[in-house]
Amino acid sequence: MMIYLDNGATSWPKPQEVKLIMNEALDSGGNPGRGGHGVSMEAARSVYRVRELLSKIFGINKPTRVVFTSNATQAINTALFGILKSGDHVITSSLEHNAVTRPLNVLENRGVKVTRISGRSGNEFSLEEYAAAFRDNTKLVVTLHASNISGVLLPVEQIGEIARGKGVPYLLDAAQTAGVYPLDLNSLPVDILAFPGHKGLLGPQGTGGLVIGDNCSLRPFIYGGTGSLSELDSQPDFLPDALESGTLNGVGIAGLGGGVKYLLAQGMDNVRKREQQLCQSLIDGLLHIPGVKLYGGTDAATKAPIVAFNLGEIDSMIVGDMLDEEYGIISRAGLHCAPHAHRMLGTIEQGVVRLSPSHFTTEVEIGETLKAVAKVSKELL
Amino acid sequence: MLYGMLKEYRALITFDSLSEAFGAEQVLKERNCPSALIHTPRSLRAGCNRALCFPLAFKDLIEDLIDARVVFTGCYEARKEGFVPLGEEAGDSESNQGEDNDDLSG
Repeated sequence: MMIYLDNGATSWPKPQEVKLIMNEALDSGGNPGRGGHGVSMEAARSVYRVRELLSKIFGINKPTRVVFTSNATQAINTALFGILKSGDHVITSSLEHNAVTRPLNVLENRGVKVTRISGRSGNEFSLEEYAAAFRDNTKLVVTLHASNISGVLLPVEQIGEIARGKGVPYLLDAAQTAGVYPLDLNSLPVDILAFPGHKGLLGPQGTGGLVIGDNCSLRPFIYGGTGSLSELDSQPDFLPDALESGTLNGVGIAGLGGGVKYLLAQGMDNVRKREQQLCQSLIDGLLHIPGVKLYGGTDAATKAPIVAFNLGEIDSMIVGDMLDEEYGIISRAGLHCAPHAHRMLGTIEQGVVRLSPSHFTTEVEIGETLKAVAKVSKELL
Repeated sequence: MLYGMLKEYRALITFDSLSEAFGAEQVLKERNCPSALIHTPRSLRAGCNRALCFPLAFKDLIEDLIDARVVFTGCYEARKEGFVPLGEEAGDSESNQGEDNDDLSG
C-alpha cells in the first residue's frame, strides 16, 4: 500500500477523465496546426479548446494569450529571458524556487541587477523594503505565490498593486497555487502568470504555460516552426505562435484540459478546502508527536495545501526514507529546489519533510501517516 | 479556382494565426453561423495559412469578430472577378487578387 503525499511535486492520482482524453488524443493523432488536413486541424482545435478553458479560469479574455510550455520552469524562463536584458533591474523574493533563482543568476551574470527582498518566518516578504527597492531601470517583479516548502502565501495583491503603481509588470510563479486558489487576472494585479499543468490543474507532466496580460510583450525564448507565416525566416510576432515554436505536447495538453474540466466540475474551492482540512488534520496530529517542529504556521486554511515538519534535529532525508521504506508513505524530504527559502527557515542543513495531500487523499491515510511519524519519532528521538 | 465550402459560402476571412481562426470559428458558431476552415487561396496568401469561409449572408458578423478582438488579416467576398474586400461594391477594387489571380469561375 502506498500513501501518496507528494502532490506538491506532481499530483497523483489523476482523474479518470485525464486518462480517457489522453487515450483519445493518442488514437486521433495529428500534429496540432501542422498541415491543413482534418487530423491536424482537429488536434489544433483540441489545443485551442484547452486555451479557452485556461483563459476563462485565469480571467484573460483572449485564449491566444495562453502560451503552452513543457512545465512552469520553462514558462518562467520564457518570461524572464523575454523581458530582462543587460542594464535592467528585477525585484524578487528570498523564498524562490530554483526555477526563478537559477535563470536570474544567469541573467545577473549578463548584466541584470537583482534585488532579493528579505523576509523571516511570519513575515516572508518585507513590503517596506520592497516598496523602496524600485529604480528607474526596474523592468520586472517576480515572485512565487506560495512557498513550495511551507505553503505560506506571499501578499501577492499588495506586491502587484505596488508594482502596478510603479508601472512595472509582475510575473507570478503559481506552481503551487494554479488550480488551488482562484487566480483571476481581471482582479489580481498580476501581468504574467506561470503555471504547471501537472500539479493543481491535475493534468499530465510535460504541460504548463504562461498567461500573458494585454500590455506585456515577450521576446521569444525558442525560435522555429510555428505552422504560420512559413514563408518568412523571421519569427511571427503574434501570440501564441511567437512563443510556441516546435510541436506542442498535444496529447498532454488534451489531458490538461480533462484535468481542468474535472476541477471545475468539483469546484476549485471545494477541492482546496478538502485539501486544507486534510492538512489541518496532519498539523493537529503532528503537534502531539514528541520532537515535531512545524514550519509555516499551524493554520492550514491560510496556506497552500502543504505541511512541513522535522523531527528534532534529525536529517529530514532519513525521516523521509523511513516513512517511504517502512510505511509506504511518499513525502518529499530535503531542500525542495529552494535553498534560499531554507536559509530563511533555518533548515538549509536539515531540510524539511514535506507532506502535500490531494483531495483524493483519505482521512484514513492521514491517520496512518500520523501513526507512522509517531513511530519514526519514537525510534529516532 | 474555388474549392471546398468556399464554392457555396463565398465569404472568406484570412488569418496569420490558426489560433485566431479558431477564435473566429467559435464566435461564428455561437451565432449559429456555419463555417469551414480551408487553405487560404493562393492569391491571398504568402505561406501555408488557413482561412475561414462562411455564408455571405452572415457578413455582418465581421463586426462581432472585431468586438471579440479576433485578429484577422482580411475579409473577402469571392466573386467572378476575384476576391473583393467585404463591403466594397463590384468593380471598386482590383488590388486584392495578386498577380496569380485565382479563377473564380468555380
